[in-house]
Amino acid sequence: MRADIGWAGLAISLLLVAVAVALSLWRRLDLERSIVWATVRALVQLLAVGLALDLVLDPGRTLAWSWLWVGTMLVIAAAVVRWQAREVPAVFALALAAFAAAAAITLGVLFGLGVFELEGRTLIPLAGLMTGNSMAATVLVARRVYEELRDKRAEVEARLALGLASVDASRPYVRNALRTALIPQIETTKAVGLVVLPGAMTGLILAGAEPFDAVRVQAAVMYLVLGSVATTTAVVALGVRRRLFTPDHRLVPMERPAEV
Amino acid sequence: MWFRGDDVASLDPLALRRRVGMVFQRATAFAGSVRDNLRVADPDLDDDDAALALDRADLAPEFLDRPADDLSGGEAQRMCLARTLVTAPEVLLMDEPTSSLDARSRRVLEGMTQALARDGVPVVWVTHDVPQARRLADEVVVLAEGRVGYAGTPEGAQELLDEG
Repeated sequence: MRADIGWAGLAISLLLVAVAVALSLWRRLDLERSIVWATVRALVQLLAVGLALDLVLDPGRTLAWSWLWVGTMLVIAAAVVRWQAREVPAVFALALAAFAAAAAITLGVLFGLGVFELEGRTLIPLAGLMTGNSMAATVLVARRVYEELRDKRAEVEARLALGLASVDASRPYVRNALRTALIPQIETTKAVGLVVLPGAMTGLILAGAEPFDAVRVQAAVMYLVLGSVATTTAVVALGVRRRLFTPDHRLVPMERPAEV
Repeated sequence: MWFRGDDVASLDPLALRRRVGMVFQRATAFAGSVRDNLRVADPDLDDDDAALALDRADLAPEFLDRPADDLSGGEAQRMCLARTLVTAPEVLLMDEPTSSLDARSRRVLEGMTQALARDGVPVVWVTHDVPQARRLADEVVVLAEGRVGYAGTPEGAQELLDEG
């Protein structure tokens, strides 16, 4: 099978969008415009990324451009976390530090130990997989730590009143938040291959790679994602906790969202 | 603010919190059994010492295995007092501890607090209930609009309040 489907192939695949539009019209879902807008927007974004990648991954181009790309991805990922967890103080800086730490650890292992050869063609996709798959868990843990400590303020203050340090007084609530953020990724890792064929492996097979070669790459990617999620959630959880206590071990005031 | 001759700002806040035990207006039980709750105050607490702390709060040793969530309001508040006593505080600060309790639980808690005071643990009891202050206090401080309006005997405070 060829990986290149050509412009004609891409045009034919739009028939599947037509099915979605037809379904919306038939059931009067009033989603046709949204479906068409999403389709066009995704295509334009992908073409723009493809064009930019084409430039960055040019064999004559220095690796510095790829690193710049990775750095930009980390900043955008941190901005997304900031947007989705607005109530959490200093979450942009924490998320950026978390993604940077995850990148240093996971990419350091994969490239430093020679699992992948360091080049733009490997660096950018792996960094993209790392940040893309860590974002949801990072948002979740930031919000959960904040909400747990806000909603359980009476318990936390009762623990502080017994002379516990802020780290100890908040430990059960931070642990709950970390478990909540990590368990979905662990479950996804367990179910891989049984329920869904994961993206990297599917892409490689579509591109003509041998299935076992694709499986090895996919396994390395899964471990990359698991390590990355564990790192980002730990850094953010501990960072948010640190922001929510004063140096003399008092819980700072936290506002509840307005009732709607 | 000073505590036993030291400016509290100069004291280690964690050590100070263990020296000044606090019981809140609402009983706050942690997840787990009563034993688990007491061990938050001291992870090395053995069952004998735990039973002793419960006894000072007028709870039987059998309570150790009870889920803290299952306690009545009065029992939960007494468990909180026992939990605080595990830290062996030099002073107890009780912030309207009986405001959400029924009459019997209120009497039990008041009696225990008087016993603690007799045992040499000074108690600072915050209340809006003047008859309760008269029943319990040796000394009364009346706060009005954030200032000390009176400091003296319970009888003197009653006279001041009667005069309006």
